[in-house]
Amino acid sequence: MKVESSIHKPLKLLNPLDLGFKLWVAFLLTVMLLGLYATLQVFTKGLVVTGLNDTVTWGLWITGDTSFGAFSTGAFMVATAIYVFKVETLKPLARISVIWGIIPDAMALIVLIVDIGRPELFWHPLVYWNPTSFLWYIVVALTIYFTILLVEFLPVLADLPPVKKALPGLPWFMEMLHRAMPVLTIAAFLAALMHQSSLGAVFSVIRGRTYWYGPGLLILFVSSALLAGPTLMLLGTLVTEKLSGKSILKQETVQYVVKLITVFFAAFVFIRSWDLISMAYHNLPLRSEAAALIFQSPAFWIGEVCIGMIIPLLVFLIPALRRQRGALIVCLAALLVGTFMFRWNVILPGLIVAPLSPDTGQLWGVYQPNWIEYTILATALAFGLLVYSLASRYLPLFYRGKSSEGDEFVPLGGI
Amino acid sequence: MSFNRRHFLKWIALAAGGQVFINVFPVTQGQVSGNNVSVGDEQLTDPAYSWGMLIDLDLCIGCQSCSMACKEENGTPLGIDWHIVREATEDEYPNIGGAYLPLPCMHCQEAPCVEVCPVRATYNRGDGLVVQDYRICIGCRYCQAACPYGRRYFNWKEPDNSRAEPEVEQRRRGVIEKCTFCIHRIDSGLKKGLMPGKDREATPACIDICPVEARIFGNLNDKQSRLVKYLEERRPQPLMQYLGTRPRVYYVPPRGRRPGPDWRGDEA
Repeated sequence: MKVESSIHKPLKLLNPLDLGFKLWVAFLLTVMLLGLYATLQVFTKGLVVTGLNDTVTWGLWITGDTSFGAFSTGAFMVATAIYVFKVETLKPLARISVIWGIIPDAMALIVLIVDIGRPELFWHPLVYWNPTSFLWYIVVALTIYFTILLVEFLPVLADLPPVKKALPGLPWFMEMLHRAMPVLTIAAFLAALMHQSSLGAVFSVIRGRTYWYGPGLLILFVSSALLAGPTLMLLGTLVTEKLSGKSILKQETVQYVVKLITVFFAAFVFIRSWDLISMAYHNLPLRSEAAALIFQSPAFWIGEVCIGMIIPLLVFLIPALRRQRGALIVCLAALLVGTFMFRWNVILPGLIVAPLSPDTGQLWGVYQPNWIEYTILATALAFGLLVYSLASRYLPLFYRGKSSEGDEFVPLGGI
Repeated sequence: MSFNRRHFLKWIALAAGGQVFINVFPVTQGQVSGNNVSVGDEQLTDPAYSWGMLIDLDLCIGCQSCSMACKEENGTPLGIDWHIVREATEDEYPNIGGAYLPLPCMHCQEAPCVEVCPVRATYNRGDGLVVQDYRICIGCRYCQAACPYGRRYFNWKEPDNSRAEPEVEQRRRGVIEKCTFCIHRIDSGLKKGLMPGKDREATPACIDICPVEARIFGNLNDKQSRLVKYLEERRPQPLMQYLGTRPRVYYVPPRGRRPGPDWRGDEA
């Protein structure tokens, strides 16, 4: 009964945990407390407390939402690889990918609920359908994807000893679920692609904004999401390894995912370059102005090009760096920053360069995120990190190998 | 200096912040008569009516009376202006030129805001007006991003609509609002047997107040109305027609700067 003991060990919740972990949780809770205060400010005074205005009506939060949405694609990609294409190498990532799919989506929901003007009416899109709206499509796709992820998460909960004891009929149910997995996976695949392309389409269908208008953003958002999903998943796992000193993934698995990321990175950089270069042709008014805005901004040159493209490129090109996990962590973190900055550089110039600003006092929009917006974004991040920190301690997420009962997953302490 | 259509276009474009972005095309008969009214799911009013507005920039003196009348009528708080008048100047003194561009909601027949609203809080009414349901709106502000005319305003804080006329619907924090063509005046006027555009009581406040009668309001389906006659005579154009939004607000360019009869809209 070695398995049982290893699962039980970290479940002693009240045992004195190591001080570092306690401090870490305390830090995250402090950030979330600050976020709670900022949220109360928004809920009592209205969105006037943010830096948003009628011209630049979306800002940091929507950038965060679209990025978090992209981060969650790792789950469906790994699930597809395991259950449809039977890639055994990725099996250790089966549960890690699901948790890294659920967390960013939950983070996006947190930010979104603060961002809308009537948070209590968040359910309206599910009742008042408007099939011509891509925002509505996002809500539908996100709901489907999130539900499937939660179902895919059930095996993790079913592995917990208390749950096993309480529900004797569970093995049968889990067996049925396991059989349904390929179907669920394909449904998740479709929902995720629909979700990501709709995120791009939200902007690309707006005729009045030439910087957005066209089919480019759909492809860009999908390819950026395919890049960001596995990146976050691998980054999370490698950082966990580094901090805990445990060996979670074999080099073989890591390199497999890195290869995957490299392919999607190349595709994204190619499409993005093509998108940017095409902006230099045809002096299409407003598009040219918006493009000029980003070509003059450090958000583009430093955030997107240097951090998002050049640093990862160096790591991918140099084999010695690529195989070293420390360098890999830097590279993956840079890719995530690049993903965020890409969305920032798409969304903001399109809003700032308005065809006709509602504000008579100015030609174009002005936007500077304030502390409330930063705090709530940080709160979403803290929430995600907290959920992962606790989940990695207490839930059987990490693959240890095959046992007589099949694949064996254990919490971090069990490895 | 000579004023031609190009100058006029430039002015509007400057006001738009988009240089030569505004590309206008001669109005076709079908669009003037408004036969192809796009109707939303809600058939609230008689499709026999198709309300439209015309603003003669030849006459507009930029006095802002329309903006003020709108504020008085609808009680919009500071920072929310259902109607604005933009002005643009061209060249330098003493050869200065200028134009005024009054901007109500265009009530587009193919409105981008209606297409993108995730909850159908905004829709084309039976008579074609684009209306906003303050109870359904969740405040996602997608319509603001979608409206090319910048005619939508968000209630960033609790609004004070206490100065509005009693029959104007009160707004609340966190929802979008915009020009309604004074829908309360139209609806109550029709109930009393009045005709919007003819009877002042049933006509939008900005039309009534205009000291130079630069604005005309009426039924695009009524061939005998003053509006349709004016439209056929002066061949006005909506803003940014190339977007295919088919606005219900038409602009008569200043005299001498209108496109000639042979113009096909390819000069801009």
